[in-house]
Amino acid sequence: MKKKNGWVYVVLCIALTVLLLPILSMVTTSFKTNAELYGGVSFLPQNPTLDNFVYVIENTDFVTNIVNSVIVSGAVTIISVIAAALAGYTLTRFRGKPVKLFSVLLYMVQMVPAILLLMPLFMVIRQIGLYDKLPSLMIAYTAINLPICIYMMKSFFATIPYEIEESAVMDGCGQFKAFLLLVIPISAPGLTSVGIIAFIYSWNEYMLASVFIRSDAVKTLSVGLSQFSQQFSVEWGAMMAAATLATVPAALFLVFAQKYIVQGLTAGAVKG
Amino acid sequence: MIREWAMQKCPKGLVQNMSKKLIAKRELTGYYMLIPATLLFLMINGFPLVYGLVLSFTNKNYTKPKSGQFVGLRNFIDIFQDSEFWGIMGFTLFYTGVVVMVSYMLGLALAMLLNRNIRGRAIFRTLALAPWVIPTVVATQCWRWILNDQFGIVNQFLMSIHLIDSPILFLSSAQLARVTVIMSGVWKTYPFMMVILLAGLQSIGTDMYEPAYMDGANSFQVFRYITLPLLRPVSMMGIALQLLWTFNSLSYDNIYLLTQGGPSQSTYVVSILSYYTAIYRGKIGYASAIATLMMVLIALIVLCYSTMKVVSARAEIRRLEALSR
Repeated sequence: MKKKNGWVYVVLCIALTVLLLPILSMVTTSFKTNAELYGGVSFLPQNPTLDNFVYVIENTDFVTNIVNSVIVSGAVTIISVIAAALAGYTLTRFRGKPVKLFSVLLYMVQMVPAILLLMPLFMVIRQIGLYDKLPSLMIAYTAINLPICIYMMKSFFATIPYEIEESAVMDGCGQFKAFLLLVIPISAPGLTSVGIIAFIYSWNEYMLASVFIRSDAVKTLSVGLSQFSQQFSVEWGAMMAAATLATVPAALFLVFAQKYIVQGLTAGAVKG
Repeated sequence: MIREWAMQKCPKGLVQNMSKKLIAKRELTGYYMLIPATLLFLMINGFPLVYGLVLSFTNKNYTKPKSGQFVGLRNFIDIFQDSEFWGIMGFTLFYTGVVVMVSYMLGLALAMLLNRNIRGRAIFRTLALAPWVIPTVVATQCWRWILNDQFGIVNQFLMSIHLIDSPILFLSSAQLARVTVIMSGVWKTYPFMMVILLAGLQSIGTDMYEPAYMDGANSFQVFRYITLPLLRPVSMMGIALQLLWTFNSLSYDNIYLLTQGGPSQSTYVVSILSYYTAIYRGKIGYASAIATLMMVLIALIVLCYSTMKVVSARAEIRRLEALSR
């Protein structure tokens, strides 16, 4: 059943060029001079320049935004991995009533539209004094992204045979200790997947960030960038430079940890 | 007795040597491990959800200090009589349906291509996945840039090959703006479909195809009668999840950042309507009622999906029974 695959390459190349045109255009634009941008017809920059990047870094809050996003996404990643590992483990190793109740809760949580939570959550956040502070985003992102993380962890732990902990537990080692000492050390792939998915989600989130945060000093990247486009609506070069920078972490994950992203997406969908 | 009781709670093989007390202690550990996630859910989902549901039965309004009384079903009656709402709901359903359908077809096509034994498959897959990891803010900026009327590459290209004489204003006319938001919605969601369909295709294995080809089936027949039916569970799961996500939240970011609902409300979706009603008109109660209706609709969709799954599982069982007879 040997078939010629030449046409596959042609189709894939054309399809991907069209699909990636927005990204390609963003990257090439960010290296163009203003004269080229508004007068030229060439797709690729003729005299590549870093002026746009320098402009963004020197004249806007972009660096602050990036730092804030790193702080929020980092915290969300850590909390998500811990909470999802604990809950996912329980879902595969325990079967009591509360566990069943929890999985029903998990199922229902996903059905709630974010917009319904937005206003009440905003009021809660203001009540407890977290309005306009980064922790508000950390907590909200973790909770909203947690169901998918738990499903991912659950499907990962389900692949680990119970025999690994069995004898230890029978010898009187607590289940939690067994989890911590025996299961976690061999769970790096699953934990990494969850971490990456949580990071990407919080790095990209826009709606909650635009409502919970007001001051420039604590704005995250997505909000900063969207405002940027309103303030500098004609400076496409600078805007595309900022957009390119904002894409860097995602691109790095995609290139170096794609396996985990794919695993994460598939686990969430197939077992969810 | 104890054995039986414990069997239900513990994984097989563990029970034989454990006392009831030990099992109960073990069980407690499991409950403790659920605490962090449960607390987060209750704080971020549970309480606000109840609060939101309660608000949807009140006339709470930011601009009126004395508001907040219980008004029964007033908000829902108003919504049902509001023709604007139904127009927006119509577009939301249309948007969700078209985006999910097109992204499914595009994802399936790419997954079929990438499932072939070609060189550099990992590179192609990485590139095809890119839209998924890109922040929506960045994606919408990119779209605004390439569709720009003066400097955008799309208009420049179309004009240079003389297909059009004057630039197309993608975001200024109602119809085109709707097409544009759908296009960018598809662009953001197809990678997910592609990834899960690719996983589905890879689990099929080549031995399913060989006999069919030997019997003289052509590629289309193999696709139609072998690949598609075998992909059915994965497809249904993917479509259901994507419908949920797109309807619930993804549509908001994508459309709000691209057109802010404009021009003149032509790209409003229900979540944007709820947002504007709450933020700009201050009508918290009414906005909550809109969001509550969304949730009811989602619950109905999920119910339909579960029923469909049960029905198809029953059909499968009946088929197997018929075969075994």
